[in-house]
Amino acid sequence: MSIQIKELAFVFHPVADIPRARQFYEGLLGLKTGVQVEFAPGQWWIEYDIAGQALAISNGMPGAKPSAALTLEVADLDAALATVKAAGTTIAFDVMEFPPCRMFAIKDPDGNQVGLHQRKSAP
Amino acid sequence: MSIQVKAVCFTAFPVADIGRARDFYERLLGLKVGLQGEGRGDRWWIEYDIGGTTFAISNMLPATGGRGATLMLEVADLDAAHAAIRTAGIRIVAALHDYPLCRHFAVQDPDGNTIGFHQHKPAHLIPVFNPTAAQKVAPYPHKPTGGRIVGHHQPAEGGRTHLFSSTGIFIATQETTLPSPVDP
Repeated sequence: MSIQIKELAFVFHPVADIPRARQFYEGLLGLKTGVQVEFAPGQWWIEYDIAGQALAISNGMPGAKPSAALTLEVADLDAALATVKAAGTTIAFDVMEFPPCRMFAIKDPDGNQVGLHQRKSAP
Repeated sequence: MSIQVKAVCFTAFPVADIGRARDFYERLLGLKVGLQGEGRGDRWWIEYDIGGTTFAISNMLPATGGRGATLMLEVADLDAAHAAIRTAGIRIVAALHDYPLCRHFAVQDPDGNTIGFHQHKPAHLIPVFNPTAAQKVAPYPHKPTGGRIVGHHQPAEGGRTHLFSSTGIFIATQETTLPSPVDP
């Protein structure tokens, strides 16, 4: 059985220098910021809303090599993890818990990173 | 003035082996195939519809140096965007190119992530699918399509042939007559 994908959660671009990246994404491309979190001193997660689709940049994601990644919303993260483990798929990073969501990431056969993500339901 | 970005057009991953990639994206992730375009020499552009957003894989993408996804942004005016990029001295990694349905080019952000700028062509520049005139293409024998019907051939002026996807989306125009349509 395949994993049940619901939608594209976000596209992620790792960046090294937040002001330089903001100049590019906000100054040159004119993108509108959405969620902005400084999750550790100087470490930012910044989302842009592009007509309803999220692009995220961050200078503080663990293991984020300079490789843009696709993150997909799944119906059941634990079921998805069991499925990829059963399929022997390479796991880029194991399940991480964030305040609004949980996610892990796998590698496609070409080494592209695909995140699988599930939003927490409102309490 | 900044470039006027309208929407995310698609996100795409370059892949080396289409059959292997399809197994991953369709069997493991269960994604639904949208447009499938085949270029010369078993080169494919395959789109998936993920909750209304397009994600594509292709073995005909310009190499992105293993840097992952290309985010393609729809802009209001591609030539203006191109001029703004050149003025800003941003590195262009894929030159402005003309495709059947669109024109686009790509740059790198300051960290080397690839961003494409894309503009759909106006409708009058795109050949229209005619279900009566078009003939289904025989199932391709090779693995990537899984033997499915992948499109239609439609006669065009001057002895040319328009190629359409299985869902009637224009892909290309061939200058010579194509062999092996399905018998009516």
